[in-house]
Amino acid sequence: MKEGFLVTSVKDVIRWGQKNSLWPMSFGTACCGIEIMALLGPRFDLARFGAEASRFTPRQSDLLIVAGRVSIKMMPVLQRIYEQMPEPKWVISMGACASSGGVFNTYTLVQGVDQFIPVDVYVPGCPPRPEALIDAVMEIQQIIDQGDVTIAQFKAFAKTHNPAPGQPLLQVERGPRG
Amino acid sequence: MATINVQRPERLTLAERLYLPAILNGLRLTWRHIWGERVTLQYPEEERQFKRVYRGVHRLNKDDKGRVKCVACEMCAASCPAHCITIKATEVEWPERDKIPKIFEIDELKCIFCGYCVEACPEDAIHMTRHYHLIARSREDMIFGLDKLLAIYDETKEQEVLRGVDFGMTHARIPGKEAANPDEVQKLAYPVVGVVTKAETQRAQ
Repeated sequence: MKEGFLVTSVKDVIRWGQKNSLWPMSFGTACCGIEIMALLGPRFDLARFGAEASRFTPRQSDLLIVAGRVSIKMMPVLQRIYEQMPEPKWVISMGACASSGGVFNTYTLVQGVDQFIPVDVYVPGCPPRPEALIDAVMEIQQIIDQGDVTIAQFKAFAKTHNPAPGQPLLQVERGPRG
Repeated sequence: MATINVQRPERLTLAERLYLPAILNGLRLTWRHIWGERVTLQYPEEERQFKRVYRGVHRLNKDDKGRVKCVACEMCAASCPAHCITIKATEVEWPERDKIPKIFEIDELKCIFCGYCVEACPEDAIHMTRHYHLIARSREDMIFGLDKLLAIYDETKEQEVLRGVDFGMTHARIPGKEAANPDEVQKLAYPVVGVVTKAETQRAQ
């Protein structure tokens, strides 16, 4: 008998549940946060995709939306938030600043949050339209549908949470004044 | 000591203590809104129509022979505030120009869609379309090269999109539409186009 034969349909049910009740944790640090507000509002209404329960507490959410520029001092906070989110979890990098730094090519700004946390879907734009973000949420749903919810994510979790000895999770060069 | 004495009511009235009138009031409001106008845009099925001057993803235009119109002068790369355009030129021996881009890459993730490249282009070779459905699973996917930008042109050839002349640039060449004075440029640039959703159009019909 093949491995997981008895629980094949259970996986599908879990996927269906995860897909249709994404709880976003919006990390809105700039103008992209305003677009998230529009997205949650009646005009675009993310509730149609079951993802309206924005709790602003990482322990109850499974979709991190990084919206806006993240400075090097803010990055440990974002990383802590990411780590506090229970598995399985997905990340959307929204807008030019979060995805690549955008126009802010300076020493204070993280040039793309994917240098520190794994990102599943990137949304370009400055800021992106709420429709584009709906596209991204639908892409996350596709990722959930395609992915192996249990084993692959556990492996990814183990990889990110157990860095090699002497290798800090967050590598930031700090100046004399911190 | 300045002290403000606030007069608080001794007790709540019976109606207030029951909470029911307040709940019913709230429910009445909800009920009214159920039958009111529906504002939700049913996005994947229904899309918003934008003005012609919306700044979405770029496209690289082709000339009448189907070749890339760009002359690799790097004006767009110089004007880009996000430095998201990379151009490598190569020499050609065509009668009307000496060089064309060998590599033309726009990092759409770095781009802030300001439209300065469209404004800067002296050849009117780069436009911005109304297409905004851009998402990717990796950063590499969002670096659009020559092939992709030209493919976007093929897709949106029929559309009227954002051009250099929209910024009042009189030097930008628009085939068939030569503007003599600035007023005319403005008229060419801003025809009256309303913002209506598909649903609103259907309702009007």
